[in-house]
Amino acid sequence: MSDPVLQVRDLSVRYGPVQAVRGVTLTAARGEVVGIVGESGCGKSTLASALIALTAPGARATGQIAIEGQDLVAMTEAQRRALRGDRVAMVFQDPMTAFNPVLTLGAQLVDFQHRASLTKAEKRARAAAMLARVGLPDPELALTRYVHELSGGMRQRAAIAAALMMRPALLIADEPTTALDVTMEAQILHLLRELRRDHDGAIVIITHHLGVVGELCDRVYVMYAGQVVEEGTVDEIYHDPRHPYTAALISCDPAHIADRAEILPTIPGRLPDLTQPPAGCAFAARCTLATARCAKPPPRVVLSATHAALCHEVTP
Amino acid sequence: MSALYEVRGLRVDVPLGGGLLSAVLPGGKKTLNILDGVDLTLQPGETLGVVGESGSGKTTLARAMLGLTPAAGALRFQGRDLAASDLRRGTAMMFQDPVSSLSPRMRVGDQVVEPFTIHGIPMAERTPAAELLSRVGLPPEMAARYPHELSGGQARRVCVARALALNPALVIADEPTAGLDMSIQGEVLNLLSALKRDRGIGFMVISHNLPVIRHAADRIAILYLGRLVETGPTAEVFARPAHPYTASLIAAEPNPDPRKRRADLAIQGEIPSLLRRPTGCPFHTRCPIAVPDCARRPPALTAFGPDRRVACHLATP
Repeated sequence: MSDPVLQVRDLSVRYGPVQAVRGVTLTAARGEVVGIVGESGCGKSTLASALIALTAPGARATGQIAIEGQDLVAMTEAQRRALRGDRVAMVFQDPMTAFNPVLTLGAQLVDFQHRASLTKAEKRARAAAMLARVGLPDPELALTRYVHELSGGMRQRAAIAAALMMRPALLIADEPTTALDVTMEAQILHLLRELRRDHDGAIVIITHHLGVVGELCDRVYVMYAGQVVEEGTVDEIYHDPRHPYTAALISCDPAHIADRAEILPTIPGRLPDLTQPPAGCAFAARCTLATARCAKPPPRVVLSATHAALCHEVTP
Repeated sequence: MSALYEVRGLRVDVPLGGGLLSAVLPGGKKTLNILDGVDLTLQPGETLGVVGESGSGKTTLARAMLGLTPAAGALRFQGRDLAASDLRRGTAMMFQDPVSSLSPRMRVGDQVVEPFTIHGIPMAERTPAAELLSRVGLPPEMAARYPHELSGGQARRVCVARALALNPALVIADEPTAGLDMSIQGEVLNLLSALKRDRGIGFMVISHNLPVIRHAADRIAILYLGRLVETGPTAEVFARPAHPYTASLIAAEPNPDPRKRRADLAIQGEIPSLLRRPTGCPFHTRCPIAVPDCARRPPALTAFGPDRRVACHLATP
C-alpha cells in the first residue's frame, strides 16, 4: 500500500491558555472516507482547520500534519498557500459564507483554477462539467448565478464542486450537512458517496451526527476534550464501542433507540476546563467505570489492527 | 373532556407589500399563502409533534395558534375563541434560540419571574425564582447569572422555567433541542416529559429532527408547503406511514448503523418555493408514486383508520 494521503502525528493546538487539540494522531489513505466525531468543544473543528492550516490567529500548532508527505506545520505560509485549494480543499458548514456574494458562481469557479495552465474558456467548461457532476441542473445557467440565487442544497453542491475543482488529494468537509433539511442531507450524503468512487484522494468528514458517520465513513475517530479517545472501523465503533464515552454517546442518540423511550439516556456532567485539562483520563469525572487509576494518563489499548481506545478499563 | 386546543380550517396569508415581489408574481398577487386547511386537536397532557422541512409553515402555525400573526379559521383554546380565552396566561412559547430569547441585560432570576410582573400577579401568589429554577433542575445560585454565562442546555432550562411561571396548560416548544449536543438533548426532552407527566401540561413540539419527535411526541402532524399531509399516533405513523412524503422523510434520516446503510436515494428534488406552489397535491413534483390526477386536484385530509388522517389520493387504508 502507498503512503497515506494524510498523516497527523501528535498534533496539539493551543489558543493562548486553551489546549483545544491534545496529541492527536490519525491517518487517511487514498480512497478512504474518515470520520471525526465528537460533541461541541471536543476540538474537532480546530483539528479540521489545522488540517488545512486555517486555524484562527493566535493558534499555535505543534506536531506533524503531513499531506502527501509534506509537513504543513513545518512549512512557510507561502508553501501552505500553494497547497491549499490545490492538494487540500475544504467544504464548510455554511456554503453561503464560503462564496463571495458579489461575484457570479462562474467567475469564482474560474478563479479557483488560477494555478491551472488552461484558457479561460477551458476553465469555464471544466467548471460547468464539475457543476453537472455534483447534480446542479442546467450548469451553464448556474455559472451566471450569484450564490444567494441558489437554494441551500444547491449551494452546498456548488461548494463541493468548488472544493473538487483542482482534484485535491485531501478533501475536508466540516459538518457538510448540518445546515440542511433531512431530505437535502440525504441527497448530499448520497452525492459524497458517489463522488468518492471517482475521487482518488482521501475524504475527512467532521461531524457531531452519528447518522452521517454511519452512512458515509469507512473509519472513525471519536474525540473528547481535545483527544482521540477511540478509533476503529465504523462497524467496530458502532457495534463494539469500547471506550465508555463512545458507548455513552451512541446510547444517547435517539436514532439508536428503536422503541419509544420515556426517559432518554444522557451523559451527566460537563467537559473539563481545557485551560487546565486533567492529568489523567479527561472523561473520568463523567465515567461510570472510573476508578482511582483513572487519575493517571490512560494507555492506548490496541484491540485490533484498526481498533484502539484510550482507557484504563479496556482490555484487548 | 374538552380539547385543550382546537384548530379548524386555519389559513394564514402574509401581505407582500407593493414591492418588486408582488409585481413579478403571476396575476399581481398581493398576498402569499403560507398555511391553509390546517385542522389539529391537542388534548390536555398530550405532546403533539409538528414535523416538516424549512418553509413548511411549522413556526407560522405556532405563531398563529398564539395569536401572534393574523389568521383566518377557527382557533379555540380550552373551548373558547382566542379573543375570549385565557390565551396569554394559559400558554407559553419556548422560542428556537434560547439565548436570543433571553434579555442579555437581565439576570436569570429576574427574567423567570417577569411573567408575574407582566400579568400583575399579586406578590403573595408569585413563585420565587429559586423555586422556578429548581423545577427545571437548576441551582438557586443560577438566578444571579446573566444569559451569556450559561451553557446552551442551561439557557434552554431557563426558558422552560420562564415558560412554566404562570402554570400554563399549553407550552409550544419550537425546536427545543436544536443546537444541543446529543448528551444534553435527552436532558431537555426528559425534563419536558416529566413536566407533562407531573403537571399535565400539553406540549406542542416543533422539530425537523425525526428521531427526537419519535421519542417526545404522542401524536404527530406532518406539514408540507403549509398543508397538513398526515396526522396520527406517533408509533403508528412511524411504523406504517400513509403519505409518501412521510415515508420519504423517515427513509431520508441517516442511519447511524453502518450495517443498515441505504444504497438508493430516499427523495429527489427540493421543496418548491411558496411563490410557485405546485397545482393539485403540493408534493406531486417530488412524489415517487404520483399519477397525472395528483397535479390536477388537491387531496383532502381524510380519515385513515382510527385517529389517523392523510391527504393523498393514493392512500388506501
